[in-house]
Amino acid sequence: MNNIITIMKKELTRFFTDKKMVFTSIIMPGLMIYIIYSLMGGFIQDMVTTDEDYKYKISAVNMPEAIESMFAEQNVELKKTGPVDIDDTKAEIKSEKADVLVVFPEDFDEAVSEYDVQSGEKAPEIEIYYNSATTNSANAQMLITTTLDAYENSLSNKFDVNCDEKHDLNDGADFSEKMVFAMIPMLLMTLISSGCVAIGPDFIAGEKERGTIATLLVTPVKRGALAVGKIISMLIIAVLCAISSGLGLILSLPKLMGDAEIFKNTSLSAAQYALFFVVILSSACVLIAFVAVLSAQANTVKEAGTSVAPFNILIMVLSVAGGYTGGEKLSKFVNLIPVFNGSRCMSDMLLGVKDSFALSVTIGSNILYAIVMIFILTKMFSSEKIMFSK
Amino acid sequence: METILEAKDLKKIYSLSKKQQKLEKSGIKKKTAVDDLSFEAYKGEVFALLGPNGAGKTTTLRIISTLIKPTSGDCIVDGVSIAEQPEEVRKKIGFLTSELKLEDYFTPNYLFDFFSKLHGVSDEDREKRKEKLFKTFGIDEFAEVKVANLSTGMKQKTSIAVSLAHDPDIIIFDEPTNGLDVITAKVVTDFLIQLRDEGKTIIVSTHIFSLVEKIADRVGIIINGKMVLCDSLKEVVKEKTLEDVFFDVYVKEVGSDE
Repeated sequence: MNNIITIMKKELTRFFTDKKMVFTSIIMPGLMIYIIYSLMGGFIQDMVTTDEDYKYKISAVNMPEAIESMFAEQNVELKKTGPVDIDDTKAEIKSEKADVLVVFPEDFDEAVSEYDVQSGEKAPEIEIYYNSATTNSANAQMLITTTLDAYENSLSNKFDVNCDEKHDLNDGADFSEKMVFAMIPMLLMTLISSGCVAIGPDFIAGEKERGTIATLLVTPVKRGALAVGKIISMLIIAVLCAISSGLGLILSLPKLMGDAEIFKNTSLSAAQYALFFVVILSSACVLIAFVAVLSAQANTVKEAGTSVAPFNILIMVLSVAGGYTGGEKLSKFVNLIPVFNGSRCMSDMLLGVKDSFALSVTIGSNILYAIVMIFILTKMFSSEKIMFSK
Repeated sequence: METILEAKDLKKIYSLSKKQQKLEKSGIKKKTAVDDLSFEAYKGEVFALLGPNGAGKTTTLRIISTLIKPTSGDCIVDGVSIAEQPEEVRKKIGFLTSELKLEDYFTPNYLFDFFSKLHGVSDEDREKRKEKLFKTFGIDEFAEVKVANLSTGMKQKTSIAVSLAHDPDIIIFDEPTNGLDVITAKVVTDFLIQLRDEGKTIIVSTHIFSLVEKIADRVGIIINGKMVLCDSLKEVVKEKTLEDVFFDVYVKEVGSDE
């Protein structure tokens, strides 16, 4: 046990006293995710939102008074234009000097009242000219379309559908929440896996490449202690990488999603949070132990990096599949598939599905896989072919 | 004299990779690096393994230090078998070879403490050992400098100090003065003599005749993995110089055209 701690201390000292490594492996991923997602969110918001103070430049030809009053209720000012100015206004819209031109047929109200839907004749047409490349123009067009739809409905309003919000019988997550609850485990798994991939190659293959592993192997330290010490320190760093990235993601998510209420139907108890963490940890154990084995079989960091890279894709596939099957009834044996099981369990928890058998199988099998990997790594440390092959 | 180390019929056969087979150009798939090699080392002596490059010296020392396993045979180190109790053997020996590198990121001070802990040395003993070894090699001056910034000589001194952190009775050094400048080489040679005077058993491999003549009590000449001569230095150099004896043996074993 003392030797495990000594090895862990050495590995962690090496990592945490290297400011550059701490910055690139832990601080930078979280910071980059936060900055990029926040910028993306801000950029998207800017693209689709019009300033509150902005006054739409809407020109209207032959607009009936009833519709005019509907716009007035929404504080939208209209510029009445004559038919002769249509071409000039279109040019202004194109050059972004005006937003929208609405052209009603002459005697629009009469034409509408005389129109028979059954006749098969062409209905009176309102033309809305706008510029889709401009946010303000596109939003103004949407505003007009919505207002006109409302006007059209008011003309033949014979019945209403669901006037209040008491009709949705679902008391759990709605579709968008389900999507988010499937994505969160996938993101967590991918972030942990990225942490493992970032540090794993150097921890063992790096030592082999630099010739420092042999110096450790001539000490009386048991190979098993060496394997466990290395894996636990890698696990700590990988989890910190994941926490950093996770924090970046959580903090930037409201900006990215435009302040949408994502977790309104989720309320995990303290015990569930603890279980959630145990599932993450057990999955992280499997991931890091597997990366450690891949790293040990390689002779150089570059070689280890090459063999670890496809592993990231596999993790993504398994975690996506696990996340999206959350809440669905599948064979109990699927929880024996590493990564998939953790992702599925996390998704279940977020959706409020309680399945203690699946949870036990997940945690138990992950711990078992990690132990098997540690055993393999121990054997690898004892193998001169693997440790000293050129 | 008390035998402290006994190598019995050590054999090491390597399977050659395809790349190695191409380099060998002989089409052989296996290579015998050590061939039924036996010798004894006595307590408090310096035993020198002498041989050309590729003779099997380093492989022999790696087997004794449990870094690799013999294909057959065994070595008893202070009553412990390398095949049965390798961890116990590692507690008893201090091993230094050029392939054992120190992590560039750490300082000699940190590495000494780290390896002392792995060997189970108490804090008190560690500080005493550190003071002595650091003073002997002048490591105090660069104890807090990262290994990456040390010269080859400084690194070698640090490696020796680290390999002896647990004060082992049996010390195995593979080419201890290789690549060192004359001053550092002298410091290392004098230290080996000092260790011998303290009653430590030293097994050293080298191809430097002068080093063997200066420090060794007994000498073993290895050629093509076989121990072709093993005797006290006094007996070996009775009639000829060590260099002449070595080349006589070499020509006899390999032929003059090699």
